[in-house]
Amino acid sequence: MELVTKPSPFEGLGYILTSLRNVIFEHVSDIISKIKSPVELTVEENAKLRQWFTKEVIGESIKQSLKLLTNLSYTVSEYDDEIWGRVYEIIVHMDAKQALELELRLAETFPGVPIVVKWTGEINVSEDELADYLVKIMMKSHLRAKALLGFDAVRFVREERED
Amino acid sequence: MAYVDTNIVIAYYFREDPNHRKAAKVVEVLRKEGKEMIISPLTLTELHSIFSRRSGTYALPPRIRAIAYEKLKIYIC
Repeated sequence: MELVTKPSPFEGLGYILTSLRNVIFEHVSDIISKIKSPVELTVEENAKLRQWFTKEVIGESIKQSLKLLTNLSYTVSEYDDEIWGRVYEIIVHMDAKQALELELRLAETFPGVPIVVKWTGEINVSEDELADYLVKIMMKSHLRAKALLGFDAVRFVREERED
Repeated sequence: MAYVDTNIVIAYYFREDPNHRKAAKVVEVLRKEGKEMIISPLTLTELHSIFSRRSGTYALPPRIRAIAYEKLKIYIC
């Protein structure tokens, strides 16, 4: 006589969960391969994608943020810099202190994005205060000076000491 | 306590410097060992001199460049 064992409801559930997991894994691996594919874009395609992203997404986000951060009037313009990429230049009708505070907020919100805030109002910060603001903005924006081709600290210091 | 020479300060700051990785390693080791890093007034003088004389070898972020340009305009006026 053949012994037939019926699977318990829990074993059945386990089987369903395993199948479900396998299906999910299959989909995830499919999605991951799709995510990986943009890396295989050509340099030109990648540059175009990046350009679209910076222009359409970041530019629009900066404008939206400005609406929230200030009630005073401003103009936003953009230009492409050979080294820094898309640069956003904002001219605000406020004094220097207000403008630098605004720039600090923008630097916090958009780290890595080159933003320049210029003001039309009075310069009501001392040189030391201006330097402090610039250091804070640089720290928040994560932008630092870039060495160009041929830059060599060891050589520069050696030549400085030989002079 | 460790005296950090000018070339390490500069190479550490500029990621594009040929010795950046070495400088970063030195700083990392000193940090891990809990050593206080010091510079001298000579380092500050050398930094000022090198950055003034070699301004064509590095690019300032647009924010700083804009201020430098504005200041220059004031001095020219």
